[in-house]
Amino acid sequence: MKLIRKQSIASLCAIGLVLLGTANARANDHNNLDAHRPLSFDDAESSGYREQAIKMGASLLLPSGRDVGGELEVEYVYGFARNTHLSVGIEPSIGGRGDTNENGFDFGNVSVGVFHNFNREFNNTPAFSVRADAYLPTGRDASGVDFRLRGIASKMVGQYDRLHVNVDLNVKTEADDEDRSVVPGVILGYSRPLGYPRRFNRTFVAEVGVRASEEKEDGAIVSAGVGVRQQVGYQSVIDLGIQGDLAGGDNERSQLRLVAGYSFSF
Amino acid sequence: MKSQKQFIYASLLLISGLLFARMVVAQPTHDNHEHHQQHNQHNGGNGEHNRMENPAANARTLPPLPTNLPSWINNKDRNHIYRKRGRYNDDIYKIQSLARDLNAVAVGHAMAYEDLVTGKAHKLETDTFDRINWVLKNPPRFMPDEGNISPTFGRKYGVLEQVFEWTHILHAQTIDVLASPKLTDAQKEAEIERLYQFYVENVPYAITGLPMNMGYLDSQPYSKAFRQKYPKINGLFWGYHWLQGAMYDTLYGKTLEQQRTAYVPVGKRYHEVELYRTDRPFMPMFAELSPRFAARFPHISNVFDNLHMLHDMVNDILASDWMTEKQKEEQIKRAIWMVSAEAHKGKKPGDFDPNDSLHDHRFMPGMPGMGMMPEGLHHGDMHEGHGSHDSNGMQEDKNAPNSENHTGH
Repeated sequence: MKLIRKQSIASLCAIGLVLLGTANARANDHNNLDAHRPLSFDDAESSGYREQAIKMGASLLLPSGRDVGGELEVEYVYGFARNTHLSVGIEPSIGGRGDTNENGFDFGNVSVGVFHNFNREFNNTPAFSVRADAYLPTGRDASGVDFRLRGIASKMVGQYDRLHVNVDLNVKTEADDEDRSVVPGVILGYSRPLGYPRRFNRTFVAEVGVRASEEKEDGAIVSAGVGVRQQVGYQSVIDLGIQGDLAGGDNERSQLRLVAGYSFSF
Repeated sequence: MKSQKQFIYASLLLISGLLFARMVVAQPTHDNHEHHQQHNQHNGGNGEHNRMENPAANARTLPPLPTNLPSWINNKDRNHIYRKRGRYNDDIYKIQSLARDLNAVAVGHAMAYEDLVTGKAHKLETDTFDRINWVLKNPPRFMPDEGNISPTFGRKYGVLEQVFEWTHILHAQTIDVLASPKLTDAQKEAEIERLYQFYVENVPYAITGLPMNMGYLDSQPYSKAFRQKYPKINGLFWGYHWLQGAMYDTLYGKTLEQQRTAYVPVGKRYHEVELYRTDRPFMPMFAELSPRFAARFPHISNVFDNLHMLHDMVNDILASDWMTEKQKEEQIKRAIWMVSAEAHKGKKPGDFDPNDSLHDHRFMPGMPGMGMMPEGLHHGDMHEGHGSHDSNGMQEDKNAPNSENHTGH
């Protein structure tokens, strides 16, 4: 069993590396930040009208006191209207995870989302956006549709430093008795280009977040992360990051997450 | 006796000063006064309006915003639109040295604008110049996003940034097509036309393809401020425009190998001479630098010349310390409107109504616009049969890289 698990993790990592190696597709903007690439927050910029992008990544999960796990993330994004895009994603995983005792392969829930940007940043007014995602119950033992509504504000502070506030409301339509049906959360993200005025292809990102635990008895979970996005092709970007829980609920294991991803537009 | 001499010297100084100020500030074209009055009428102005519209009469009196501006000129939307898809996209990177030079141009524009709006204008000729020059000598591998290099400028002038961005994309994609080894010459010509159609149909803030009278655009109350205050940085801007003009005939009708070879002397001249020239009387124009391309695609050439003129107008507005921030914002909106496709909708090349300066685009259909440059020299072969232009003829650049291709019309 353990051997099968190791093989599965190795397969996921291999797929991730292959995806990373498909160099030179099209410029995903390293400054246009998306959730999971590599951290949890979004900035308030939508994809361009008629732009399509594939964003994918592989994560190594290191939950405390459990086996090592792996996760693959793949998301397709399409700018179907001005300042608005659609996204469809999957997150299959295997091995140990912080939020469940299961460690077998899980296809994960399929997500479908819409992102809309209301305005660009002007004068002292931040850019505002909203993102709504639905998670279909395609994963192991999943039931009911989960929703997440995310409000996003992005604003420059100083000349090149930018803050991104994400306010989340996660809603479970079929929560277990011991679980919360509404889970709020907030993330403060930060980004800054690295290398100005001599290099223009790298962005540093960092975040601190707090969210309620999914279990009713537990308190808040505080997490943090840092990462970097690097343009590697005319329209492609790789991302690397590390995230961890600084304080967690009693029943959820804290975990360290190492993320590597690749995105391209076309 | 001594006080009499002092009085005479003081009077001479005063008269010289007044004459010099008039020469430097006003520099109207022969019919400038008439043009501005007429332009004002176009915008629905009254008599008071007319007096304000005449920059030659009072260099510190600004023309008001037209009342018929479209709503998009005030939009607060991001409105990012992805470029037209095509198998030629990014083929410019097959000519690496040109691709990298163009990447550096984007940085040069953005850094100068950011410094101008963040209180660093006094360092433009020194620190900013050195910073930009380093990038020009060490061009980036990928095209940077100008909006990210100049975020303060973008927050203040977001629509302008969109106007610039979209026409820069047209620049980039037409060059990608010319550099594409996958397309035949006929396919390239057809695709360039499609790119133009995509440009004018998909963005509200497209620039007109009509041959605007550059003399009129360059005789606003703020005109020439930038080139006078910051000659070195202005030289860089016009150097970029020289490259952007010269590159079309450098690539036009050639194989990839020929293009690579052709860019070697052009790139050398760009880096060694054109970027550092401060003696140009006017910005480089498309038809003098790429006469073959300009003759084949006059409307596209005009878009680029008008874009470059808009750059000059914005530079001049930002460099004019005597304007308030609000006045600068208004004049930038007005400048966008003056070169926008929407302002000239329904008009055609060859239109010249002496009562309407805004619609002074008097070159014939199919002829690349050469502008009406107040400080240039007559360019005989381009203007053959157009005697009315002689007082405003274009500057002559006998060293233009593609002058051997200059076919005339």
